[in-house]
Amino acid sequence: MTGGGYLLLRRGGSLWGIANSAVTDLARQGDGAYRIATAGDDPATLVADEVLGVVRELRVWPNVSVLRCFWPEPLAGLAVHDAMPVIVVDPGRPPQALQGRGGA
Amino acid sequence: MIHDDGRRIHQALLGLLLLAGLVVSGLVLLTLAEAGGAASWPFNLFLLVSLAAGGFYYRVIYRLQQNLRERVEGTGRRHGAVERVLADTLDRLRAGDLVHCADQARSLPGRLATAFSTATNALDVLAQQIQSSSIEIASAANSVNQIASELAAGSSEQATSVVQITAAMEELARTASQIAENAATQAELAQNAERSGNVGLAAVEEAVLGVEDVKKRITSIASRAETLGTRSREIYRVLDLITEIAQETHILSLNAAIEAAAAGEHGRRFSVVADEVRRLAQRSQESVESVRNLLNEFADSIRATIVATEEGSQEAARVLERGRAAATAIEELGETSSDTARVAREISLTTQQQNAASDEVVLTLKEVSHVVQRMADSLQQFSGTADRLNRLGLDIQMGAQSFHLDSPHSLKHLAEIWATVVRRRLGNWEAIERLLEDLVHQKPYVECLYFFDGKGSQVALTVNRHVVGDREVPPAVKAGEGFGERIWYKSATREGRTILTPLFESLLSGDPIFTAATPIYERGELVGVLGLDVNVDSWAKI
Amino acid sequence: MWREAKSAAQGETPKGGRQTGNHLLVRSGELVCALPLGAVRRVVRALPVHPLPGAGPALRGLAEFAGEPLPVLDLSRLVGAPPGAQSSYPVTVVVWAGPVDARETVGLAADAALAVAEVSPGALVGGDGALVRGEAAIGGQVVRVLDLEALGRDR
Repeated sequence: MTGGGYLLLRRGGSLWGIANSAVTDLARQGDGAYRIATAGDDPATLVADEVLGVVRELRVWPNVSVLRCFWPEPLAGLAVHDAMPVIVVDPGRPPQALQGRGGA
Repeated sequence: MIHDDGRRIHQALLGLLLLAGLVVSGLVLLTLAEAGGAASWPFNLFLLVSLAAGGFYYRVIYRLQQNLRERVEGTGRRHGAVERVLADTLDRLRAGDLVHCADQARSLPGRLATAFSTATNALDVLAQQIQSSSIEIASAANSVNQIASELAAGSSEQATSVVQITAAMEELARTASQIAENAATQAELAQNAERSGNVGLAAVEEAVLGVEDVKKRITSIASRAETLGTRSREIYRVLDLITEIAQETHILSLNAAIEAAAAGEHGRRFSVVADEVRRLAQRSQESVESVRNLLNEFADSIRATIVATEEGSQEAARVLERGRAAATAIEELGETSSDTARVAREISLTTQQQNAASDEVVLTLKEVSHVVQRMADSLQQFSGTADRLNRLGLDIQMGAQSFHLDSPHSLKHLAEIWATVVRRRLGNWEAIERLLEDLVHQKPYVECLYFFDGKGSQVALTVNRHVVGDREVPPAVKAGEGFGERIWYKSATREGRTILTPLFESLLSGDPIFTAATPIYERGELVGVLGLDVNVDSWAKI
Repeated sequence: MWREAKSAAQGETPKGGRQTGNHLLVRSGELVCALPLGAVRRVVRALPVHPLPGAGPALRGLAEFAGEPLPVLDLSRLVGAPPGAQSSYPVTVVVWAGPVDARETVGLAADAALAVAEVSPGALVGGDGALVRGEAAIGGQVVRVLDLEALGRDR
């Protein structure tokens, strides 16, 4: 189980989770979207339609090989929060959907 | 002479009578004296008186009578001359020759000449007035004739119009009668229609009530069908629920079989249960299918019933609407029929009144026609009277023309003037012909102008083309055949003066004419007669 | 659907009317697929899925099953089945897919779960050497037998 909590986002109708420790900045843009800055070797700026909040504990299923065969996006795994599937993001390799394209 | 003899005889007798009277008186006195023995001085006185009377008679009466007789004989001689002149003058006056009469009268004694001059002047003026009046009469007669003709023509037109109007009015009356009949028929038909309309309206209203009742029943059926439909939909929901349960059960049985397979040998009995459950679910599903099929059929029937009821309801609504519309139309038709019947009755009454009025108009028109016809007849008589008036004017004119007046309107004066001009050209027939050609066109009423020498050998003749037109002059007329026997020639030569003939037939035109003819004398010998013919149609132009 | 299941079950039912088998028959479009029973975890009513942005047509999206995230694949697209009539009770078959040592729980969206049937390996013919192991005649119709261990391999 991954600890430290996760920041839950909504983007494109799906729930996304990113390790809270990887988030360096969170701001709201003029158009109502949120900008999330990540730290790491390759910092990135993510865009979200909604920020749901931080969950302390989130069980992540990291084995997503079959999924990645049909959806070749970099992700850390899948989780469930509040009976909703959550896509856990790899902070170092955020998917395209969170990089300002393909919003809600 | 006889008068002188008579006067002498008278004097002789008077003397004899006086002498006889004296003798007798003397005898009587003597006798009385002798008888009475009276003195003889009365007889002597008587003798003295007798002698005085005799002497007086001789000196006064006889000598006076002789003077008077001489004077009378002188006067008689003078009177005889005047008488001759007077006779001649009166003769000319008798002949109407006022011009020569006036000339002759100048030789009469002073007052007589004056009186004759005054009388001839007055007669001349009167004759001219009569001429003018006759022309005015003719003109008035012509105007009257024209007016009468116009009025007669107008009356004829009016009579014709009245006849046409009468015919039109009679036709109108016939048409009005027909209209009245049609209107009466129309009224009756409208009444029948109204009655039929009332019956129809009652039937339609009854039908509407029936349809409304049917509609209500249909609505009730539809409501029940709707209820059945609702129930069937509830059943469908139950069936869906059962189906879902069966499907869940089926899934459950499959999951049970999966679990049983995963359990291996330990799951065999569980797999049996799962199988049973699966079959149960299958039977349930089959039952549900059966019920669903039945329910589908029932639902179809319900839907068909609902559709049928809806259609029936719609049709009933349409029928109801049409029925109400028909009822409204019948009501309106009934009102219209009533109005039509009323109007038809009014039309019938009006046309009957119109008929009566038309009859009165026709009668009035017929009376008007009679009046117009009588007026036309009167106008024709009036026209005849105008013709007689015209003729009277002509007669008066001719009477006036019988006078020789010193007037440009006097034919005799004109003839004598032209005769004077012709006399100057005697012996030159060509010149006479040219002269006549010029003269004839000076007067528009002269039809023909001619000079006949009386010996029957030569005649100069010319016609006024403005009067006779293109009429050809007969060769006999041109040659003067029979001129010596014509009335104008005979009268002129017999009278020895200018004459005016009565009306006679023209050889040229065949119309009535009269002729002014004047004999021309040369050194007391007749050398010919100049004649001018006046057509009665032109006499008013004189 | 039910008649197919019944005939399939009858064709493979040994004595006593009891159904046994090693494959789960599911219908997807016009095809009937057989899934190894050992790889089937559960059959559930079709789960609600959340589409993923940029995903291919075979991936319907993500669902939640028993507290676990579940990628749901469209079985008809996986096997290339012609589209059939709309299903009245679509299901999601929760299976273990992938190699045995790295199995993942995946959901397969199908039109209906039919029955459990026995498929002998010797009866298989054809196969693409990947997902489709082969085809067999079951209950008078051709059934495509799938190998879920090959799911996700070599794509």
